[in-house]
Amino acid sequence: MILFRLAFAAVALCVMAAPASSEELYGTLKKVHDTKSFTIGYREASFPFAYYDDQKKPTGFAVELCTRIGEAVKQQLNMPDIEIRYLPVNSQTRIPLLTNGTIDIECGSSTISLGRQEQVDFTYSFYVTGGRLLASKESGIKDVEDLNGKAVGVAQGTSNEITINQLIKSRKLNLKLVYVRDHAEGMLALETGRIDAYVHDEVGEYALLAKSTQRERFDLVGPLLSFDPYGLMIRRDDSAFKLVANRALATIYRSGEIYQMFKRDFEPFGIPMTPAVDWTYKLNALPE
Amino acid sequence: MSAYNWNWAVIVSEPYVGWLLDGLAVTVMLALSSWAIALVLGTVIGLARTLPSAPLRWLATGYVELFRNIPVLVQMFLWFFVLPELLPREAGHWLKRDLPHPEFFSAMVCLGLYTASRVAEQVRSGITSVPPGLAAAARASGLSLAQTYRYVLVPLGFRIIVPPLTSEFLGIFKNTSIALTIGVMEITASSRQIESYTFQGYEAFAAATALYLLLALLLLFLTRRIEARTRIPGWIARSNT
Repeated sequence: MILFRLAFAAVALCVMAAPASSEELYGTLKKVHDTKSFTIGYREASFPFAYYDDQKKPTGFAVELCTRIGEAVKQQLNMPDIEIRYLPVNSQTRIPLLTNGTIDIECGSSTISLGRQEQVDFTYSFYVTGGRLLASKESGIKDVEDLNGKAVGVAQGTSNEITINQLIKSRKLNLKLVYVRDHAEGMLALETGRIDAYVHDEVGEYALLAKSTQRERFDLVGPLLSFDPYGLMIRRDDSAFKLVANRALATIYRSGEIYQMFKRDFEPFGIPMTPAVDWTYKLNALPE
Repeated sequence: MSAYNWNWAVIVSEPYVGWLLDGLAVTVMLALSSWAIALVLGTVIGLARTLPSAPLRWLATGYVELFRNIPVLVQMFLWFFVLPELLPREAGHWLKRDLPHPEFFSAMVCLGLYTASRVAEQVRSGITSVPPGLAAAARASGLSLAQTYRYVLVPLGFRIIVPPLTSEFLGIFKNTSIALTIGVMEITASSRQIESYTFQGYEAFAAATALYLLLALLLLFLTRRIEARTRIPGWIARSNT
């Protein structure tokens, strides 16, 4: 009799836990259901959001959030055998690979912008930062006005490039703009004295400083030059999957687990919790 | 599945079309200036590889093997980031800060020296493909070594290698795209910049592809005419031992 009731309960649970399969699946959820795989596109050097650990495995703050979303998708579809795959992307390939279905979500440090939302969609924000100047102390740069006559580096294809070009126009700055391929080369250019200051998101600059052997030569100076809320990139017109992803994020925010993750991933690099980041988690901790 | 919003207008609207044309100009300037270096240096080194003097031959062979066997991408990085650190402080500072467009000149020197090693191999094979009897006859009839090169080996050898040289010339245009890794804003870099501003990556890269293709076809048309004019009728076909 007990066995019978257990079996009944198990069946009832299965029926209750699988409401999604009774609806018509579409978009990412349908694709994951049909292919039994969920592919996470990750950035290889977006410290501390997405990078490689000692075993060359993708890891980081955003990668963990994406993996949790993958787990939520498994639960939603009630398919524990779905395989979560990882694929490296860069700033040139992330949008094409997402729109053509190669990856299902992009995790790194992509800014949620209105322009980008003409091509893609984003989950709730998981971090808020902005561009800031990382200047060498000997250059004497303390603020944006001091950039006149100086050499300033920026990575091609980043939102920082747009920020500094707008700043040059609006403040009529006369500076020498040096393009670098990525942030590691930007730091190299700064260390070797090729440039006096580097423009990058503040959080990334903390990470660059933490890894530099000459960090006492440089300072973060001036105000934030832009507003960059980071989000996980997903396909447009995909509300059902977006809800699964946002629900997973809201649960992590609401339980306060996000603050433990923050402590673990950010504090070793001296990255402080700012009010803007704190409010991002509080505002997006929506109730069930 | 694809939810991509196509917008071909991007690549013909300002300022993006201007970026592409600027990129095209940089590509052409970089290719032509590094080709000049490659042709002059490659000829000297290629000829040195055929000289009777052993030390000169070894020196030239060393150059070719060094530059031909290191990937261009690595060479680009070495010229741009490493060289200024090895030089005396003032010279390094000048390279990094006072030289206008250091990335362009680094790329020019890098591509020029790399392609020179390939040109040198073509030149050497051209000279050695001239039947040895001709050079021997020239020396026997009283021409000096310099005169033998000037009047016999170089005119014949160079006309043989025009077709492979023109293909090196086309290759240098494509290799300029590697210069984007040190910040040269050539065609590929321009298309990446358009992608980052508009998120219309497919259109931007399609435009870059079309520009490279047009450039290559134009060059092919020109070089075919040069090849036709410099061909030695009956020379290649004739068996020579």
